[in-house]
Amino acid sequence: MSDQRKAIVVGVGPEAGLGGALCKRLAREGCHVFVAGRTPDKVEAVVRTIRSEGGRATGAPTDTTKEKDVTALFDHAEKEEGVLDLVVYNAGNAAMGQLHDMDATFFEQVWRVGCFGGFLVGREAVRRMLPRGRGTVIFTGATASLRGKPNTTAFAAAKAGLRSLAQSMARAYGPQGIHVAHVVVDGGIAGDKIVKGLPQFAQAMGEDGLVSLAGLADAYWYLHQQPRAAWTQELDLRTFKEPF
Amino acid sequence: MSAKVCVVAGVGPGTGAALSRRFAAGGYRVAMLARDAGRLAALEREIDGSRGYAVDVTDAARVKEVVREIGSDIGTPAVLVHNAVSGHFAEFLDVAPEDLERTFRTNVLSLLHLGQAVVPSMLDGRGGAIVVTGNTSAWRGAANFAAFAPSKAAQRILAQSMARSLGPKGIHVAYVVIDAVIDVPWTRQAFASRPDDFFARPDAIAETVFHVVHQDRSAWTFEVDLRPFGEKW
Repeated sequence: MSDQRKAIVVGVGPEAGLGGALCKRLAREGCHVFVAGRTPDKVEAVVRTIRSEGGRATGAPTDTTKEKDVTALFDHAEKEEGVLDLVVYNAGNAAMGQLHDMDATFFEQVWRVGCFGGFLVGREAVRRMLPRGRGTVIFTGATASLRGKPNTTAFAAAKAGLRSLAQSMARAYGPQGIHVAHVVVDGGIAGDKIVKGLPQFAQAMGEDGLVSLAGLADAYWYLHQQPRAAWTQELDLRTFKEPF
Repeated sequence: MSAKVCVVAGVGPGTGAALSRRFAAGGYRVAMLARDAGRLAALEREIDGSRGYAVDVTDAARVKEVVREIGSDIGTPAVLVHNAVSGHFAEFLDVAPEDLERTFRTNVLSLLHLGQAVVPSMLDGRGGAIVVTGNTSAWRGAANFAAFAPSKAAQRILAQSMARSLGPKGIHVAYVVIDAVIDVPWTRQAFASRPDDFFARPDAIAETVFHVVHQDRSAWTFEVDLRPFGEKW
């Protein structure tokens, strides 16, 4: 047995994104972080940064919609020393589009990443945590988890499904010692996807107009640290400016 | 003199006392509000940096006065935790109008009174935080809850209205839904056969309230649910 704590973060894109920020924070807290993302270059960049800061990280390029990939990811993590303490499902594709001109494959793909992958990862996490009766599983949600809009037809359906999955898991496995939480990020995130991808939008939101990576990482870490005598299942997060 | 001030309204032996201890341990001077002066005196002796104020929080004029006293005694409040609660449990046909009025006065109107008393000075650039402790009744009614649940639901919506109004002005308002039986002497008696894990511990609740109050304003929570891991819900 070892005191080394392991964490798996699924859905890691750019370093300056929620997945990347969570990986770095968890490594600073002493976890050996398994960085799982679709794009090997991006995964490697996060791993390199963590190692350069003296942390422990292992890159694991993963297609979270493939059962084989997800099982392999957890097998890989299991082989390393330590106990699996925390799993974060952060994959999602905020693809926009309206129903009347939407391809069926588009809808299905958004659902595969947004919901089905969460099922695969959540199931694997629970299976591996149940024997110890400990562990935390956190799902990243969005405003769309709670309501649909014309442009979020596919995304909101996937996100609502993911939220329900998280709630079912919490009710099923909380009493067995596994803390399952769902974080509703109510607004744009101050990561590369928006800051670099949609600079005009980011600028229009102004200072503090986007939810900060550090603030999000704080909240995820706090959820993981909560004493089990009072656990949170769902946490909403927004900037103070957000007209929610 | 530079310690921040936290007002905890509704200090009994459970959550209110735990909140007072947590904020005192976190470096705050704590103003404890309750009707029972004797209980406050005992807690004052126990908790360093705390001070009790005997007050009925449904009395708007007294609330204003007490907040002024707190300001001159220990400083302007940066944090308000509203934990005062009045419960009444009876079947629908047995509920007297006064029962519902009483829960509304303590659970809803007092939040208006306290909020209106502390917010103006928080708007002077320093910001602040207001956290309201609620429970399952904020989300759903139930048999026996006709005189209680409506007041908690209204309290939650009042808090949400405050959050939307005050958030952009730098005041963080949050609502904590405690979906559980809290570990206090009377619930231990009422649920004597239940194991320790059945109860939500006041110190664990206080920990999350403290965390929420200290969230960076770039990622604020409005609503947070809390239950012990073994809770069926």
